Amino acid sequence: MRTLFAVIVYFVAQLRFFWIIRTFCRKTAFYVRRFLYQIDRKRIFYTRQLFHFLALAKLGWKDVLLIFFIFGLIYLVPYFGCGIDFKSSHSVESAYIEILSVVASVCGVIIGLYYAAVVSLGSDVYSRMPVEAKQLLRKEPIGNAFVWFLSFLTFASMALMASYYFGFRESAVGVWIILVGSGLAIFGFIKLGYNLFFFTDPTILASSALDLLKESFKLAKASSFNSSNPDFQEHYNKQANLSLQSFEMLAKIVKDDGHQHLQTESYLGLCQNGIIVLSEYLELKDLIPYDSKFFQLKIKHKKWYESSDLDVEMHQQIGHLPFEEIRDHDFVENRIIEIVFDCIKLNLKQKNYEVANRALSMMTIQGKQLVKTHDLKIIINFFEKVESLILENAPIEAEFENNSSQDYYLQLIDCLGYSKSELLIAFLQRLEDVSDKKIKELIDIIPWGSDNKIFQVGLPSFTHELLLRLNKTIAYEVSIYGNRITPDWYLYNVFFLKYAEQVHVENKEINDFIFYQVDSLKKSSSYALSEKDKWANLFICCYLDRMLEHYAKLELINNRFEKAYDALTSYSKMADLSWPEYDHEQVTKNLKDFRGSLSELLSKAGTFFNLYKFPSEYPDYGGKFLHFVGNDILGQLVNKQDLDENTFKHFFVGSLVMFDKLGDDLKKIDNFPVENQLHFMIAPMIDLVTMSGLIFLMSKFTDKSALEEIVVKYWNNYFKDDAENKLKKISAILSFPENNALMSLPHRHSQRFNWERDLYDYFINNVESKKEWSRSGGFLGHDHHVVTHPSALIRYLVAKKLEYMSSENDGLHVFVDYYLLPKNKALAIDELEFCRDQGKLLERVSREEAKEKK
Amino acid sequence: MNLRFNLISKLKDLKKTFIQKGLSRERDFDRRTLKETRGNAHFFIEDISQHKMPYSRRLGNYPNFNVTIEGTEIEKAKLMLNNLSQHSHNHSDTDLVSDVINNLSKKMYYWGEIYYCKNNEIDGPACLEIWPLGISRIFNYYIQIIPRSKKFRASTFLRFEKATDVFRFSLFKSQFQKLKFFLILRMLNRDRTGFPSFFGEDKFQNGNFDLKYYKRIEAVFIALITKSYAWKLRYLADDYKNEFFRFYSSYLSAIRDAEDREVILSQINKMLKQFEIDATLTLEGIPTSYDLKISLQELSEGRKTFSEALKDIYLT
Repeated sequence: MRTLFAVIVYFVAQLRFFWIIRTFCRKTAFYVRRFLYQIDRKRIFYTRQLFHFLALAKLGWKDVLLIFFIFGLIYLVPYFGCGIDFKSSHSVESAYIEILSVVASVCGVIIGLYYAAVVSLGSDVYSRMPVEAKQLLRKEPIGNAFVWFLSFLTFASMALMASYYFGFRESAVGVWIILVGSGLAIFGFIKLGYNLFFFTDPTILASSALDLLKESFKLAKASSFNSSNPDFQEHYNKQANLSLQSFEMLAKIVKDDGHQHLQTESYLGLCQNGIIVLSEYLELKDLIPYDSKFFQLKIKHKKWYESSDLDVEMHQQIGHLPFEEIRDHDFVENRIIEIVFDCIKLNLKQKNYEVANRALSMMTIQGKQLVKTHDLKIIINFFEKVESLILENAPIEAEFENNSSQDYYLQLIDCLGYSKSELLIAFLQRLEDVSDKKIKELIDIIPWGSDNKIFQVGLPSFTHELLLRLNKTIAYEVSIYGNRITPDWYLYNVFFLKYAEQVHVENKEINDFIFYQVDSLKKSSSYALSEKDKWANLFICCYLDRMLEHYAKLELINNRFEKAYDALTSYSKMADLSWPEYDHEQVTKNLKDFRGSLSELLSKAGTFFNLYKFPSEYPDYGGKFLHFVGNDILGQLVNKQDLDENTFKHFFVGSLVMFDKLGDDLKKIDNFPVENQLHFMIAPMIDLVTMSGLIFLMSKFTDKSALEEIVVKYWNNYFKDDAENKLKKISAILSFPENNALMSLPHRHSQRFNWERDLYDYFINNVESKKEWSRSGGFLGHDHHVVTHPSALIRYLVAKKLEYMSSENDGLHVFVDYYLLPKNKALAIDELEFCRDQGKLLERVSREEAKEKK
Repeated sequence: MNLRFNLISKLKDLKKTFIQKGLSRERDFDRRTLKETRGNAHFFIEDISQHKMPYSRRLGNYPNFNVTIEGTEIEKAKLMLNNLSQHSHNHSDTDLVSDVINNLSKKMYYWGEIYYCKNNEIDGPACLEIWPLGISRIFNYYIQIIPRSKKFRASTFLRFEKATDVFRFSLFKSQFQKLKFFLILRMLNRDRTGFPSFFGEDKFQNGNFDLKYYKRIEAVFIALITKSYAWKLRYLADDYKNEFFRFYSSYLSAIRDAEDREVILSQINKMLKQFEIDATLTLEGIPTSYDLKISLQELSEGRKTFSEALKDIYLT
């Protein structure tokens, strides 16, 4: 059929008549389309005017209604029999004209007043500003809508008067409309006058500056009228650029030295307007065609080495190697985000942490959206810059003694950590969308062959280039064979590859983004530690704490990424395709190293932290960070069967700092400075003793005496002087929570339980054990576990754990029996009470050894 | 004799007209352009290769490829095949038959049809080439005009052969296919001015501009440019093809090759039968057109990978 049609056209095209009809049809089609387009524009304009006016009239409508209600009651009185007649003797005709003339004159006066105010503003405040600002004031939408409505009212009342003059009847409906309208206008003027007062602040015009941008990207969508026309696309781009220029001009005015009063709240408002428009834009961005001229051209250096020989040869003969021009898909985001960044920068330098905090939290929401639209690089760059700025502009202690800037700074740090973890969560959610089923569903509904409709499916922007290419090839196939040749499986495969590449790159970016912080942190933390500024330590500790959260999320992301990646690659039917390489083991190893460096930093900073005194309203940060270091030590024991001496040192010192502040006589509770603080002083000591015991156990299990030696070395150092008193104090502390249940912290207890559980899990997995039936015990005898291990202590404890599934403070008991009791004996003083069943463990172990000998 | 005489006079007339047309420059010019474009036909009708058989020395994908000649008069058949082949020294039967098939396909793509006749002057079975341009069939006889360059091989000026002594090798199964082939060649030579004829007349009616001459010059120019550059810049069309489409078109060409191979082989067997030689040729260890069609279907349904498909497509 196609060839038949082509042959017919070929012959008909030789006639003049054919061309005359063709031009006529095209012209009429153009005029009809133009007419429709103009109507559409007008509709949008009037609806917007109405919308703005209604926003203004919102204030007035209740008052108008109230007045009508009261007057209605007055008119109803005669019906209730009061006998008063409110009807006036005034003739209807004269009243009709009077009302209309009054309304017309009042409207005229209001218009005059409005323009007088605008002119005075223009001559006073805006005279020193650029032309664009004046134009923005002129185009201010709400005022314009109001004036438009007033002029409508004036003309309507004049028209009614004129109709009466020409002999028409009085129009009751017209009077009602004009009455209600004038009521709204008068009350609306209150609001407008109030607004006019604020027009001295040019940032209030930001929304009207961005209106043009909003309109242009809505029109540039693939589904909108004439969006495939390149001339229209170019026009939309010009409009968007104009709008962004005026927006940037406003930001520039604010940044100037003369406008310091605008640099906090007003600047924030400006940023807020920009971010709102940006979020609207990001929602629609995927629907704008990839090759649309809405995205302006930008220059890029061409990689000549990678390009074909012919290109190079041609350009060498011409005599120069020109740039490559590509479409800039991020120009809106970059320009708006830069303004927000400037706001944060300015306020950080002026130490307005609260404003910076609010600006940053606004960007968090934006960041999530940017992650969804695959513009990860922009937001990552933003956060990297902001992060270094925040760390540079930390408050110095001398500056904030009299105000609470440190609180705001802490809040800011927390906000940064929070926004970054939100970013990670958004990425985690996005990874869920990378499932083969969802992508297949999208691919199945692509309308191949149409230039514009393929973008309306909603595929993400990074696939648009591929989409265009495939559309071109499929059109070629159709032109040759008459139908689509490329099968579905091929399309799935190619799209999966694209998804995998994109997600892989993003995953890498996210990983690098988090890893990058460690270097910057090392610099800043070393500064803080060398200065020994307690606040700097606090800030860094809090920041590191947030980073632990990031670490956990990064682990989750990598696990989920592996699954998504496997699902995509498993479909591969094209053996020659080069899928991006992803080594999960390497990534997990990097993550572990990352955690290691984090723990090292945190343990260092946390120890210093314990040396200082903070105001009473600050929480127990010291204990919080010690807890992390303990976890880290146990992680080292279980995963590497090794112990870093530095880490243990920090843990040891940190635990003893608070403990050493206690007085000697612990039994008298009245002596304690603050009763609640006793919890925080006792708990680290018990943790330390338990941890020492667990390290003893590990050294016995692996037969590495070096582990035990480290612990013994530090404890011996501690007992070098005043050993007797110290030992007594320890015994009092250890027995204290057992006697006084209220004094034990439940969450610390569960923490110690978790440590022991993890260690025993490791033991059970790495030791040989079997069940044996023995006759002794019970009527028929019972099963018992036999563990094979050279150490009797391990044999006994692991068998007990296997049998009864219980381990009660084993770490503590081990340390007491193997270190503290011998120490007690060596000092030749009375036997102290450390815990309830002290010494029993040694007996059991000796019994176990005797059994082995038999 | 009368018939023979009449024919001779007719052919003399034909020869005259041919010489007259050949002498006129304009005609010569047109013929040359036609020849140039025909030489480039491989570029436009892509996916058609003249080499139908695998290189026997480099058997990568098909190590079991073999040709067998069965029958009582194998030596006679070999003598016949040697006359059809391009190279005189072939190492084995497989080489010989491959050479024959390649040679025949090459000529067929150039001329569309080729004619061979049994030379009765030489003892034993032998073949003589007859070019398709100078042949016409009249009542049980083939009348042959031999071009000047080929005359020394023919050794006679004019020949009349019996229909049973002449065998026709043809790519076309029907006359319609033959017509289509020539139409494509004709279309390649078509005028592409881009505007209807009345437009040109309007535009140039006052001046002395010869539009027809201009069009012809343009056609020659296009032909020359395509000849010199088209093959080198073939990659420019790659923007319009995706990987699957390349495989698909390669499969089509492989199927076409296999079909041609089978047709030529069957025609050789037919020729041997016609010349009363008891021998039949068979190909083994190489995919047939049916196998390839099934394989293509498997690929398009996603049951086959590209790397597996590569084996089917490329014979070497």
